[in-house]
Amino acid sequence: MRRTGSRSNLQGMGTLVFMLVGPIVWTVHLTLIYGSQSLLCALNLGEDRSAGNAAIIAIILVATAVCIAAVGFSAARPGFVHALIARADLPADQAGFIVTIMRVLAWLSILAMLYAGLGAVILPACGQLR
Amino acid sequence: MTQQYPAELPNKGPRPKEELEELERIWATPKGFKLLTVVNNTVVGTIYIGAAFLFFVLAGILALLMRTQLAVADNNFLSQDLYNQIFTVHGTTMMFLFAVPIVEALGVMLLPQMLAARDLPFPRLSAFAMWAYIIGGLVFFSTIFYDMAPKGGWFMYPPLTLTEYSPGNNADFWLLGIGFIEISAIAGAIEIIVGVLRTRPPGMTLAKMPVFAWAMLIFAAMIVFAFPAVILATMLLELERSFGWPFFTAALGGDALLWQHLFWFFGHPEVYIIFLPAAGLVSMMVPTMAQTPLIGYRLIVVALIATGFFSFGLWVHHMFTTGIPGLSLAFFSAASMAVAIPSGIQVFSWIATIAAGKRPFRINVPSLFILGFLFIFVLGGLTGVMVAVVPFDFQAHDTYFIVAHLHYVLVGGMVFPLFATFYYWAPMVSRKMLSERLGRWAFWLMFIGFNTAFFPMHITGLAGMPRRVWTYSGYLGWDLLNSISTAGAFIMATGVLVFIIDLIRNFRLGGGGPENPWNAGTLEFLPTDVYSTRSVPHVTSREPLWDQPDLAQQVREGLHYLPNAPTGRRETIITSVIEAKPQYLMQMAGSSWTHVAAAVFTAGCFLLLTIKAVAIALISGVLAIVSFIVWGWQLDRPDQGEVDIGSGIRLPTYMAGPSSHSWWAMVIVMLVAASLFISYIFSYLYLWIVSPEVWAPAGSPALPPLTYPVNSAILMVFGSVLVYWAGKRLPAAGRLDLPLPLLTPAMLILAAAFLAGSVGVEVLGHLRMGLDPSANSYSAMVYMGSFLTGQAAFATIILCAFACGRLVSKRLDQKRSVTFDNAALLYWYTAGQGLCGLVLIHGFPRVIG
Repeated sequence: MRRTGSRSNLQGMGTLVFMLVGPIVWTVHLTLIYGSQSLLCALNLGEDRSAGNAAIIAIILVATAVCIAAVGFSAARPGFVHALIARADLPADQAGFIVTIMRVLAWLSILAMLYAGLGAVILPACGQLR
Repeated sequence: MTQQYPAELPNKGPRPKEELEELERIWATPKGFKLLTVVNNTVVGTIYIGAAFLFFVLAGILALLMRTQLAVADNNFLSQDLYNQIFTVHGTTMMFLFAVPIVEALGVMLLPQMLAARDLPFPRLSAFAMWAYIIGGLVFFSTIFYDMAPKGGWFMYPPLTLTEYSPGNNADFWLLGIGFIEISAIAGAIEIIVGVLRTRPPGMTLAKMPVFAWAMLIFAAMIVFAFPAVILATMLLELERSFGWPFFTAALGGDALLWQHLFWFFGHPEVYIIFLPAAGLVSMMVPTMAQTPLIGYRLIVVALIATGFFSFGLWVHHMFTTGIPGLSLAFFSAASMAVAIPSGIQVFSWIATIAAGKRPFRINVPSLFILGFLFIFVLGGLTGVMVAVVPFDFQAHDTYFIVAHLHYVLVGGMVFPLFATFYYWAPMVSRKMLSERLGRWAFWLMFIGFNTAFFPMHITGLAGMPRRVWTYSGYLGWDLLNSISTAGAFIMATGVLVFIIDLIRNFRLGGGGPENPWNAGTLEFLPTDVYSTRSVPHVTSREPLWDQPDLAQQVREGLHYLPNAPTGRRETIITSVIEAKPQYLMQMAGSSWTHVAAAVFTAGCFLLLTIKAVAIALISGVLAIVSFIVWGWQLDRPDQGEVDIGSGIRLPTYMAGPSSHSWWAMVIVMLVAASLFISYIFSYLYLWIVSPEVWAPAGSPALPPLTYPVNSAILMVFGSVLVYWAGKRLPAAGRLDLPLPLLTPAMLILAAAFLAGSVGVEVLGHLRMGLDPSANSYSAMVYMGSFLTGQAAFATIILCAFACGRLVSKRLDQKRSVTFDNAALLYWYTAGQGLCGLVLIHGFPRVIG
């Protein structure tokens, strides 16, 4: 065992972020769809199905597609994405563990984004359900 | 016969006798009155756990009083007003003074042993958090004895808690007292994150980390992001109550629902903040009792992380009945059901581990409590899915069904694993094990009592009994069910009493107890003393005690890393984040009065403000700052050169920059501040969304001319550049910065002045335009932005002044630069936050016209 330098700590931070790519993108997705829906409903653009509701559905569908694509790409090309974030290769003896955690979290996040985005296409955006 | 030592171990034996004596001297626990200054994790952890357990018992007694009142219809045992105070203090104490602190306390006590570290990296911070919590908690709880306790429920919803409906200081005790305790929780979280990431033993990669360490890492990260939301909420409500800044008053553009958003953005993750560490503890105990490695370790890690994240997307399910759009209802309903998936993964993993055991699953007190936990928690989870279904929630909301659900989740998910923990880990700190016979009595009384008390509440709730009612009419048909619940509560309390008797009879703090009595595989059952383990083992698997049968003996004989104290002081090995490779030897702080004084005076400042004793509160605040400065001055010790820890590894004894543990701590502080500010941005935009027509209301003063924000921004940018230049001009070690030795300190002072000036210019601009913060919610939000940036600027200015002092006294140079690094990081963060604030306050209203 050898000691390591300061660069490895920044790479370590990058690796932690890499493992959390799925949930981080899910956070962005939540903010985008919940924020835009609240905003458009507040501006009364959501009351008319032909205008605001369509805008909300479009935003949610685009956000969902882009976010799922980003997470799916990360799960499919983990080495590339890790190098992009951590500016280093995956640690050789840790790669299996790190990639497995990252991938399962990614698939769970994709499921959560699909599940959340589904509401937009089957429910009125701003109507009160009671 | 001569002992044979394997050649591949990091150090050769036998070790000199003096090494052990020196370790015992350096890590000795202070005696007598000086025990108050202790920082050793086992002692601090035990006191911390004891205090949290005391609050559990006190809040439990309040629950018994409530159950006595509700035992029969039309009862007058308690007055309505006292009942309101009691349920508020019961809930608040259980959530803020018991559940979160006891988990942090367990982290402080168990993590260094599990990681075979000498201690967590900031031992005084742990002790500070503990003292601050004990003082603040006792003062808060004592309000119940003199009719000063809050009455608004543990979630303190406005408008009920506004001055108009809650006059007096009762609500202020909650707002300032709990706000202060939350700061102590954040201090503990910083300690835990840096501890888990940086003080693992060599070889303990992320993949070999104990599940409890994973759970505590996620728990602490959740505190960092969740607690600032409720801290902001308490600040806003206290400002409205004390100074009339109308954030929650609808007539002035505010909205009471803002409180609910902020509170539940904290409050829902709080449930998982409590549950995840308990799940981590169960994941440690189940393999031991089954004598087999945990099935699905990776999936458990995934489940912990996923639960941690997804719990932040559920807060609106506490607000289904407040009148929000249908799409939001559907979205948060779906998310609430989805979070059951990662929880389910853990439950199936535990069941699989029990089934896969090499021997039959041992049934003893810890495993009984674990089985009880599984039964109760699964039932609580099922009712959780029920209330995630919106139409059902409309029916069950604010009824006793919810009381039953939340107790099944929290008591099942946290209290039962906690009692399992007490029995399982007691031998680590006690000379005697707790009694198996009394433990079984305690378990069965608690299990039967709990289900007798809370299961009927599902039916009482569905029969229409609302939460928090003081009494009820005998005609409603709730008598029998309530009487059964009350009997169950007393049976459960008897179980807790039996446990206390067991503690009194058998718990004796100190070493010399049975070694590894459960045949566990993890490091906390290595032989330890005041210095933790004699040497720090090289870890090669997740269950090192199972895979390396001689490890305990080797560690005890000092054959692994750091069998001595090469700097002659307290120290521990800092390793890299992912691969746990040794990086440097950290010189640690020892016992001191400084953190005790800081806790006392900080508590004094907050609590005196509650009773509006402003002058004494300010004096207390100044003394707290002085204590912090003296505390900080004693840290950042100079480099002692490289030292050998074994295997030929020579480690430096000083580190600055991203490798330093203090750099990581400062980054986490910045994340806390950023979470607070993001919560503010959310609040600002939320109030605009709710009432865009009064943003700003007709007749409000115009925004200040752009020269004000531009000048404010210029000051912050110039200040940031000055700090950067000051960093470039730090003197070489032991030398003066010639020819102008005071230029660097002057640059830091000037940068600090620029920061203060930028906040001043921003406030002045609005004041000159005649904006009154108490006029409406828009103006209150405008000043709130400056208030938050001013707060961060105040801390930055103190750090800059501190760095100047260190420079002038030759304690800060190019190599010994941790103090400067921290000041610079916080400065740049504050400037960034200030610039975002300017864009929001001056840009947003202009954009929306």
